[in-house]
Amino acid sequence: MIAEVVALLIAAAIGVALARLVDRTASGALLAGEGILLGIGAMAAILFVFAIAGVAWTRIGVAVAVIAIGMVAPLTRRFAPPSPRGAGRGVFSPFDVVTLVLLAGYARLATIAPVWEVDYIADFGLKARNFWEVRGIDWGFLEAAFGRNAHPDYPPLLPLSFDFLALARGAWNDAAHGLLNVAFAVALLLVVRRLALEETESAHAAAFLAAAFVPLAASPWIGIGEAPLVAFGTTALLLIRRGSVVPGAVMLGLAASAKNEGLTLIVAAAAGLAVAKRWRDVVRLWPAVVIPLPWLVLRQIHHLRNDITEGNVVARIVEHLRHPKPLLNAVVAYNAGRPLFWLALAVGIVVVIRPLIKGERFVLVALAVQLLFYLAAYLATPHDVLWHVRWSWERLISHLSPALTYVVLVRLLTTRAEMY
Amino acid sequence: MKQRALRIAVAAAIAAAAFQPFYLKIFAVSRAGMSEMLREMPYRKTPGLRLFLEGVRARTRNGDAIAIATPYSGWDYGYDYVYVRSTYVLTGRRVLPLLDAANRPQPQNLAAAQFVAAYGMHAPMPGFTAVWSGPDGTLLRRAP
Repeated sequence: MIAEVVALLIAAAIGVALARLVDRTASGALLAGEGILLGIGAMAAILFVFAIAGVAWTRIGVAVAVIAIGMVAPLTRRFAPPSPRGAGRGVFSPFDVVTLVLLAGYARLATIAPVWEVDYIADFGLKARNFWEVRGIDWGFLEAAFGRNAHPDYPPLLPLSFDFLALARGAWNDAAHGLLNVAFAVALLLVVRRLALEETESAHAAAFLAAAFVPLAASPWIGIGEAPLVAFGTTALLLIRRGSVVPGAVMLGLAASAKNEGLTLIVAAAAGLAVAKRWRDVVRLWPAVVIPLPWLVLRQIHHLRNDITEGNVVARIVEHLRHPKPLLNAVVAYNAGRPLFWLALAVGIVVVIRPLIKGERFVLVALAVQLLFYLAAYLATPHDVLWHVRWSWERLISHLSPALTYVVLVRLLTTRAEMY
Repeated sequence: MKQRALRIAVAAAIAAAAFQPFYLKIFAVSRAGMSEMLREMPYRKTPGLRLFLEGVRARTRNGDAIAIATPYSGWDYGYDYVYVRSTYVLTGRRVLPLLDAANRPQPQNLAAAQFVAAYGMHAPMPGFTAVWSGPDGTLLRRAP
């Protein structure tokens, strides 16, 4: 697994150079977290560009591209957009030990065996392995893909990230692919730790929040799209909330490159900004649209199948609205996470309801709109509603709970009257 | 002061309710045992399938057309399960289903196949000869 670890460290180093380009005031844990996320995104982007250009993936070719990015990124830093400079110093806290121990346990789980999730074998890993065989994007495979779990239209950031690891090793090694889950979790926790420090101005409160956040950042679904979507999406929402709109928009674009749900998150974030009357910031989300655009064009050109939009969508929505009971029953019946967690979070919301309504309109509206998109997908599903809800509801909710938990916890742990 | 204590208590309750004990328990779990269990987990409904497919992979080459035969006669009653897993393990080969999702036979795929990977079956097939037989299935090659 050493080759894959080294590859991720190189990606993170390049990502830090890129993070300094898109977020010039980022430092410490925030810079490191953004760097990991941007680094993984950059490696996937390099393989994507090579594939589109018809250049077969080789270690030398990718190494040249990586070095070029590493050299050019610092030179263009003066063009970086302004971003708020956060306060607070990152003093070590005993709670950080809890975070580190839990992360070590998570790393042990994520790399204990070849990735075992069915969605890895039938979707993300299958695509990556097919791409690896041809050292590029296998359009013929995607065009012919069928089956409920295939999702050929899904954006390719995660499969390409697996291919980056395979390229680093020179062989397919699915026992190491869980490392990406660990990297996404570490990145999000670094971001959360730093932003919480800025807001609470207490190293202990920030470290406590990060430790509490481990189960939310460390997705239990190894090797599938949840971990990148949660990491990119939550980082995006928290950065935009902070006022770092362009870096947040870049993360939003990467979320949209990881899963289709990331595309709706762009709309949800724009809605949140509009309700918060941050009209100018809506326009600043443009990188979020530009980043996934090439894939959206290519998937149209190659007629890649999207199960939700296939056939008569309107008729299915009307039918499900006319007979909503099965959907409502399924949403109630199937697990949306731990009941005790939601109960505790609900109490937290009640305790800080005033500052939440006053100061967190952006996040709350963005999450609410995203939830509506998820419910709309169930209304439009061509599959059996019970089957669809059963196998996705908990994962979908796991996209929303981190940002909500962050704003509640940070409001509970902050004594200052005003924040961002 | 009371308000602050309440807030800290609620924050602690959220953290406790979110806590994932398995990320601690895993240090006490046998790595070898759990690794073996998870390795087989995606194939648990079809015992021996993973090793059978690995055997097929070792005896075929990239580009070979391999039809998947199973004892299951319905797409949703086992065939899909085996077929999806075959496509992952046999990446690089053309993995051809002998059924579609509506349970219609696909004879053109059998006609195009150079090999048939027959999971859970050891019976001979007309036009094919067995090239390898394991405890959980047979790999057949089209007879010249």
